[in-house]
Amino acid sequence: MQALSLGVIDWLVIASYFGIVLGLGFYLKRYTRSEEDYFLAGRKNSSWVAGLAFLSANLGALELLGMTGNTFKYGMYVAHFYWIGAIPAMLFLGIYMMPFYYSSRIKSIPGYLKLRFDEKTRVLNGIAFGVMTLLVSGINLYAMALVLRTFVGWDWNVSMWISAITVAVYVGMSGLMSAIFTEIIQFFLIWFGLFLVSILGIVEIGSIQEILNRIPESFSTLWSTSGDASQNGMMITWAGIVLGLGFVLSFGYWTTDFLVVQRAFSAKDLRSARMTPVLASFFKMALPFIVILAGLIALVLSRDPGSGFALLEEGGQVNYDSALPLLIARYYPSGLIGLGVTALLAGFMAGQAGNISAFNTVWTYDIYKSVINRNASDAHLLWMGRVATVAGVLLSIVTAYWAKTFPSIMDYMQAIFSWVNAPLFATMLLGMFVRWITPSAAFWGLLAGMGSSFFLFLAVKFQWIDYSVLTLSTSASDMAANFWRAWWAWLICFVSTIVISFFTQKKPEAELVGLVKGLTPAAGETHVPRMRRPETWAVISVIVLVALNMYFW
Amino acid sequence: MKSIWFFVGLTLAIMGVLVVVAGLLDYITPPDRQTALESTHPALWWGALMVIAGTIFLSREKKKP
Repeated sequence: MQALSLGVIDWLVIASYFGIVLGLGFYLKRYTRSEEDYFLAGRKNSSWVAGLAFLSANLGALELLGMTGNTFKYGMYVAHFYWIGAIPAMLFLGIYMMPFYYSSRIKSIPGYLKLRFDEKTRVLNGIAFGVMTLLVSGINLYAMALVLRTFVGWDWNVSMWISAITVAVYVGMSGLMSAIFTEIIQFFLIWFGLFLVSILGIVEIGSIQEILNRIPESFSTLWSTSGDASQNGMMITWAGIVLGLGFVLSFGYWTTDFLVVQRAFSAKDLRSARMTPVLASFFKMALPFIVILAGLIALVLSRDPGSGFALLEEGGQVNYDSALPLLIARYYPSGLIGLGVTALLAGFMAGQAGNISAFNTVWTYDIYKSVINRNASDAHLLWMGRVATVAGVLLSIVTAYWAKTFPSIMDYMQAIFSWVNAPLFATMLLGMFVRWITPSAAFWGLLAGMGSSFFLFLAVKFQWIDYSVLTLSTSASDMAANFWRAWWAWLICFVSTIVISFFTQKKPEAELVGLVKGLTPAAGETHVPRMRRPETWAVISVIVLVALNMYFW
Repeated sequence: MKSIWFFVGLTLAIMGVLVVVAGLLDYITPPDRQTALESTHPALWWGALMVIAGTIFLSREKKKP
């Protein structure tokens, strides 16, 4: 494909984005005076600000390109990532888990593990999260440079270093607050920069119904072909979707991944913190109207020989990630091309800023202060946070260069999440809702879950075991294997934590007040008007979720 | 401290103006590169929509005490 040619105005649009985010970093620095300002944005955000940042931290450009490409490959089933694979977990976080997180005044997820269990569980999770975050950040950086080189023709090194240095400057100056501000700007840029692709696609093809009519039934439904794995594009049964994606991967990510949960911690009070994921759920449900619709439009156009539309092929392999950039090239004239590229760039950079701001917090509180310098002052921690930001960006660049020499590492993104987040969700669930779970059981159970997930990944990869043992089906895609591996890792952690708890020493109940259900006052807010309660909006969110699933059944 | 909505408004307004200008230039002098549905001039109306959205965010911020 010939690179998209950018005109003067396209360059001005891109330059204005860099100017605004760098200006924001400088502007917010004067309001970043304490370590709480730097790591938790001063805990003064409204639920709208925290909610949009919560969603945007997850909304990287890699996801936009990847999910559009996956829709081309797997069909409507990809919408499960946005609906059943996100909404129940987000609502569960807001309604049931946030009171434990927010009320205990912790600064990170590993911080909760320290209070509920002990120091070694905290450090284990802190190290696992830190490594995962830097890997993901580096892979994102590599992916960004790859996309910009393929579609815009930019030099690999130049685009990677300029974006990484920009992120280091603005996050280094004002920490989480600048990360949150740029994430919200990114949210609007993605809608204004990419939704037009779907609108113009619908105009060209005729209607959404016409788009669905022109693709095979196995690609245009959500559940009706899930009884038999061989009958749908993703080659997975409803059980794999519900247990692997809807339960373990989704709950593991949305309720325990500090990258997203940190945004809720920045809310000004408990009600705002609980509303954060509930509000975000509505925007999450709307995203398929960009991502899934664009993937289906690309699919329809590619099946019509007269359209002249075809995905890129490299070495005989179809490049599914090329779907969205090719649609941008098809529909966008000068000016809009710059906006589309800026939306992708903002997605990559905000995603990296999110990873770096989560990394600097976990490094500073859960590794540095916890293990290396227990008596560090607030001012020293603020300094350490800035050092960790720069170090984190540099390590991301190293990871990106590593990923360049080992391109298939991008395929391991979902696998990395299932190594860390899936077992952690079992530990958190038991820790918050079962008072007799012991610190030793949490540590060894978590280790067993992480180890088994990693082992299963290697066992399938090197064919030590057949994937059908994992997926309980003779037909399965890589995606299905990811879902099922997450489920088994969760189950192993869950069962081993319970079993070990029978033989090890419990923590005194007096130390668990505010951390475990049954020992914590209920978060019900009877004095708040009904329409301002998180529970009310959670019910509305569930109704919308059910309606969408029924409509596209 | 100015709220995030001010910066959202500023971003949309600046980029919207640039997109409208690009749309106007293409309208006056049609470009060499052809795009699907170019007769609908998407840069003009989409850019205008961005300017309106940006202005709404900026005006809401201005009204705050």
